[in-house]
Amino acid sequence: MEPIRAEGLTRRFKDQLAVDGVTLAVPERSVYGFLGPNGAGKTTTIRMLLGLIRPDRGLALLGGHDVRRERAAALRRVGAVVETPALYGHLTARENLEITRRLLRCDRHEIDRVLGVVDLAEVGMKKVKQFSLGMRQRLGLARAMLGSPSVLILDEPTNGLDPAGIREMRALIRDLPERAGATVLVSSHMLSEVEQIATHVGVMDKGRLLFSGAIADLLQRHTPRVIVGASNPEAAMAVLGETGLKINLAGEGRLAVALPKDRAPTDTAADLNQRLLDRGVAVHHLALESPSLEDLFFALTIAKDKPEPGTTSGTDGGEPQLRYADTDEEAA
Amino acid sequence: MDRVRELTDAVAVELIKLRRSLILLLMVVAPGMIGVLATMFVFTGNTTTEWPTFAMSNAAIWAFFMLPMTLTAITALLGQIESGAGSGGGMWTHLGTLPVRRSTTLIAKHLIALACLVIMSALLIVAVVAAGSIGSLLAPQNALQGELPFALLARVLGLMFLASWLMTAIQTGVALWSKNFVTPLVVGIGGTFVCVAATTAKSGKFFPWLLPVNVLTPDETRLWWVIGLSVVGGLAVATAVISLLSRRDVG
Repeated sequence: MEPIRAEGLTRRFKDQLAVDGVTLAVPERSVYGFLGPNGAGKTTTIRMLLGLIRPDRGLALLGGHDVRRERAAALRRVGAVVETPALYGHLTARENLEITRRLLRCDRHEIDRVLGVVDLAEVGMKKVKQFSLGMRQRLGLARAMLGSPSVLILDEPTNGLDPAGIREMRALIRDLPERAGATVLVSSHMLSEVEQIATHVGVMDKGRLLFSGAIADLLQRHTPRVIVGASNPEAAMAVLGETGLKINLAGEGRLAVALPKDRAPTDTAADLNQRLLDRGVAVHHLALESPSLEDLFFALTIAKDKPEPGTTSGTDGGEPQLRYADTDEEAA
Repeated sequence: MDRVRELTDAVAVELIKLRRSLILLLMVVAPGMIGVLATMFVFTGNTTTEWPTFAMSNAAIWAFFMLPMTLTAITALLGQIESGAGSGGGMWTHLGTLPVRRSTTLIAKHLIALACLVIMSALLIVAVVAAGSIGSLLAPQNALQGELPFALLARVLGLMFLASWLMTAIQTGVALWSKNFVTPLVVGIGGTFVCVAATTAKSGKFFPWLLPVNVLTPDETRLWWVIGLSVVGGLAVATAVISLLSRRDVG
């Protein structure tokens, strides 16, 4: 049973379909990066998962409990930070935590523990209105960790943090499954951030979930390629063209060869190198290149709208294909 | 049992939220201002020399103006604790992520509003008696005669509390419903204005902001009608508001 599960969540605001049939499952003890540009529907989905807003259709399950019908049971082991954490400015950090602690009925020592985790122990008696945005974010995370929840749902937790704060927050989130045994769903519009902290990813755009699964699966679904720099590019293209592999120009006279999925990329790369050498084409550059999450994100979102010129053509299963960051040109 | 514990926890949490808030200041200042005014009345001789009449005239000032205005401010501040700029505007969102029924928090808010009214009424008794006593000491020629009117004030202000229940439920409901500070203020100021302007209107016994004033009537039938309307109406309004707000989307 997945700690976080959505089945066909749909929500419309007047004329706008904010979330359209989102189905996702977050595996236990994973960090699930919920990716999408601003306005993609991430926060609306999170709000439905937490029972803050009602879906027009679909089901949100936390710990196997329907968040609408069994609200208390569903939220009992869940900590959440939705957007910029709201805090009582006239109260101290400790008083803010005490409010949530009382409602969760957890041990008093929890306050010291979570303040320590987010490195705010020394300012516990300070009024929150005197806190910087970064301190507020950390206090919000501390509050979400009260009672050692098994599920943490964090909506843009690094918003407004300075670079050092972002780094600390990412490290904290990345370590949560191991340190606290928690399952984390973290939304972000920053691809690099999700790439650094997540084991799984959901990609949303315009209200639809375009992909949900392990990052490794996403990477595997897309063709890696080898970049070949040869002394004579035309001759190299002719030789490599005989292999039947897709070849693109990759700029600076280099060739990008899409590698088959049924063979280890290193083996294919070695074969290609050997083939070129056998035919007297000198190779000065040979590099395996896997798409980054950013590449994959744009491949997914662009493929959803329309295929763009310069996008490599599909080879199997109609999967949305990758458009690499550099300026590829169709060559073969 | 669990529901009772949830409610006591919610009330305890509401009390924490009141720390360092302006609500506590208002609760002291409002009866205190009547006390200061009453002291000056006695000192200058611009009042009766009988304790009962003195007590009733101060209770009337309370019911006409100070009670509805203070209640307006207190309930507006209560609502703003969750949705005001000081909290980042989204405490309802955080509360909504906790395994506590939203209705429990809303009931606790109503109870706190009523409790504020009870405490202010108690402070007003002290303020009026203190004002009469201090005024009598400062100006012995105007000293109030008779026994200290503790029992009279307790009865009248107790009835005024009951007669304020409907007004409290409406003001609290509007303050919790609206995210901004102005809406509950407009409702409260409007209600108080009508209260002052239409005090003697026959239909006053139906107007929520005028119900506490009706406690001063010598007509017993009217008095119990007012109390009944206020308590039943207050419960009905509070139930309706809590029910509707519990179902509303958060954020």
